[in-house]
Amino acid sequence: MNFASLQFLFFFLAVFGVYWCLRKSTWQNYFLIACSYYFYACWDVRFLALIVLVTVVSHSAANRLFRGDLTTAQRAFVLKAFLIFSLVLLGVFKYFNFFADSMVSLLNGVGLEQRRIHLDILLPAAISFYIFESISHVVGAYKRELKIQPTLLEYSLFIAFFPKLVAGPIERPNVLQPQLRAERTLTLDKLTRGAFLVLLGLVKKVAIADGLAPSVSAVFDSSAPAGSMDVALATLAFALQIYGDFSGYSDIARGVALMLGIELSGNFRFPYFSKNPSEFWRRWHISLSTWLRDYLYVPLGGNRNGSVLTYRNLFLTMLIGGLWHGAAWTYVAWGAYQGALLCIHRVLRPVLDGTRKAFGAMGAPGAMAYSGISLLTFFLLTCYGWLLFRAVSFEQVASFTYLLAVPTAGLGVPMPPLSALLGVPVVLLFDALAYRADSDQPQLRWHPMLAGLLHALLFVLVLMGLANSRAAFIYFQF
Amino acid sequence: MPMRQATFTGFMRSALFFVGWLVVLDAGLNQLGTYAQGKGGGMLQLARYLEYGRSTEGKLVRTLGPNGDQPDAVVSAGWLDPRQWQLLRREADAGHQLVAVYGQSFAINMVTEAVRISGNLQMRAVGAPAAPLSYAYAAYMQDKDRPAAGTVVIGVLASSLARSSSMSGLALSFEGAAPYTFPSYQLVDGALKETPPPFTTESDFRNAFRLRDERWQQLVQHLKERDPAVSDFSFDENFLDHSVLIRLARRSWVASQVSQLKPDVHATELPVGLTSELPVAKAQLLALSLESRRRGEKLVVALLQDQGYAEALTTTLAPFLKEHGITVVDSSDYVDSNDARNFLRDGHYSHEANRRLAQALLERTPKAR
Repeated sequence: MNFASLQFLFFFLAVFGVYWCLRKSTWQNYFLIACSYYFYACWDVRFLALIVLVTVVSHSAANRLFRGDLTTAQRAFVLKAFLIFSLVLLGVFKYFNFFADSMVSLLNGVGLEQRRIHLDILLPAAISFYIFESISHVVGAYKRELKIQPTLLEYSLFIAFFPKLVAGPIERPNVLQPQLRAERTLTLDKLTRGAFLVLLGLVKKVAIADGLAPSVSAVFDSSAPAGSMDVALATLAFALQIYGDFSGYSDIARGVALMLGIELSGNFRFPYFSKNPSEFWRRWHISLSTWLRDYLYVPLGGNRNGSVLTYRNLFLTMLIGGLWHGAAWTYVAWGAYQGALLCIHRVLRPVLDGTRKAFGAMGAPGAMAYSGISLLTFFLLTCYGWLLFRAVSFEQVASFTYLLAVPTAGLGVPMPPLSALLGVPVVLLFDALAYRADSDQPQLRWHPMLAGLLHALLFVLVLMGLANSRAAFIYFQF
Repeated sequence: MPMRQATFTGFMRSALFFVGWLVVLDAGLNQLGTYAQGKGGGMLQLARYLEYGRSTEGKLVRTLGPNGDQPDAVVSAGWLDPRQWQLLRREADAGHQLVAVYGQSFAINMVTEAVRISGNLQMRAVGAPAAPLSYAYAAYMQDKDRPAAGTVVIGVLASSLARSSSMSGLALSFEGAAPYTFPSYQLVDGALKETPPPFTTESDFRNAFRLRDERWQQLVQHLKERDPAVSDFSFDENFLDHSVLIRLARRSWVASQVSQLKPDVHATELPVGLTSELPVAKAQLLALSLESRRRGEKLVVALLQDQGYAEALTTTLAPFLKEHGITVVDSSDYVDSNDARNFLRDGHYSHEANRRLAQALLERTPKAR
């Protein structure tokens, strides 16, 4: 069930109406879990068995860890057993065929002929998201960091809460679980903030992401020869498409949850205004980058064991982060590229700091010029990363990289629809104002007349965008 | 349901401003549309864009003019009126071979390109905008009064197959209502049962529409019952047509209805609308095969998957046609329907895609080479 569909609108209106008629949070939770499982079953009812299995096993593991009668060794055993269980599950469903194919190709390549091994299994929607959340819960119980010990009902809802189920944010137990226990009230503040997030998210999705998708696809999914300008424009369009698609989904998820009285974590904070890779990862897919930081980078040693190991840890974390996005070597390459950017930035930091100070010495114009150059340079580097991410093969990466370096005439990229041409500047302008105000809803402080104009413009853009053909959210596949 | 009373006034003010701005934007866009109407280039495109969502009846009123007699190419296109066909080529010149094509622009463009490449083919084309298989079937069956053609091409367009029993082109492309009509078919005890449309000529349509007479009401009722993308909201003209925002909303609504008829590339099953038309389509194709053999003509069925329709016809009709020995040109063998570069901005195949399809057609008409 796509957020940008009438089916979801009717579903949500029904959920909203019944939910607020149920006055006790327990009844609301029972109702939400039923709705969430229905929402998930809309993809494939068979997936339900897996999410229930992960829920029950992780809840049991955490409950064992909550008990005070286990020795340290027993606690470590429970944790390790659960981690093996969840990672094997993820590995089998998401990565088995990828690694098996890669291994067979490698062996065949060196002359050791092997038959292909292929498991005929579907990738369950959202598996990466809820397995990461269950790991947070069990690790939190192991470290005795959890604020509450949730009941099975509360925990099931924590895993399956439908607004964030299929594409995040990857919620942390201490953020969401206490809210699921508390009594919830509907306030006008939550209602209006939630509705605004839904509206903004729909513009990003239907006007921008869906509007730009055909232009991107025309270059990346085509066998026709592309030119330099085609590749540059399609890559730029993809940078905007994936931002619109994923941050749009996150906005709608947060908005829908807020209208149900629940605050989800912010997942994007104006990532394209970042001036370096470190800042970018504090602004892009925040729930994933912080998860990787806390459950991978820090356990690997973080920056505690000297420069070389810090670079290794950074690189490995991003490499695995790339693989998390999908079972393809292009995602691994994207992760490696991001890891390399972080390492290079760390190496160059003293030089960059010196340059910034030199520009700063020229006063405000100098500081602005430095910011502008950093922002533009890093945006171009980010875009090249998106080329790796979107490419269908390494041959395409190589040929497109060549085309970016050597100007070549092409066939041209199809013009995006009016909704995208208008939606991109409106959303970027709004983001710039929000960035300046350091708030994701700066319009709350505007004069109602100006805020009303923004709402009306966004509404018109949604109407225009809905006439575009609709695609599934990109992050559903992760 | 406790609510913060303190912000209620603020909320109402914001809501009023929101509604107020919507009214202002609506009026402004309406004015812009009216201004752009008389201009050319991008402004004219903008004016058209703002008109796309007008109700089907509303579009017809504007197209036909106040007296209902304004000439228009789309209104005149596609009528199954054998008297008009007398103007078409009946037989090939010496040294040439006639290809008769029935369907829509996709099929006609393909044959036009084949004629251009071969140099010894000539074309007789009966087509209508986005015509479904029922139209092509009826056209071929009615086009009896001519010598046998060497080859007969029937164009089956993926996007119109689900709406083959619509009886009119009025709703096939919401953005450009084409009023031509064609019979609707049902399978009754395994046999095709034809329901003729209430009118079959342009002049009859103009009269029926001007008077909104019984024949018009009959067609509208049929459309609303049988075409899954037609509803009161999308079809009936009313005061809501004056609002640009309602027009945008209507266009979005129709797009959402049409998208439900589109096969999902990831789905294992076809949409219900498409599946229910398949038995009728198969019966029509078999009947066409028999009739073409009787007339001594070689039948070629062109399965034309338009943009975004993946391999909808390849998976549903191609195996059936091959099983019955009917010659097929399947677009998915030559043109990737998910590749935007294979399509022009108006949705038709690109020149290169047409060339590949034409070549495939020529390979199936060996005598013409």
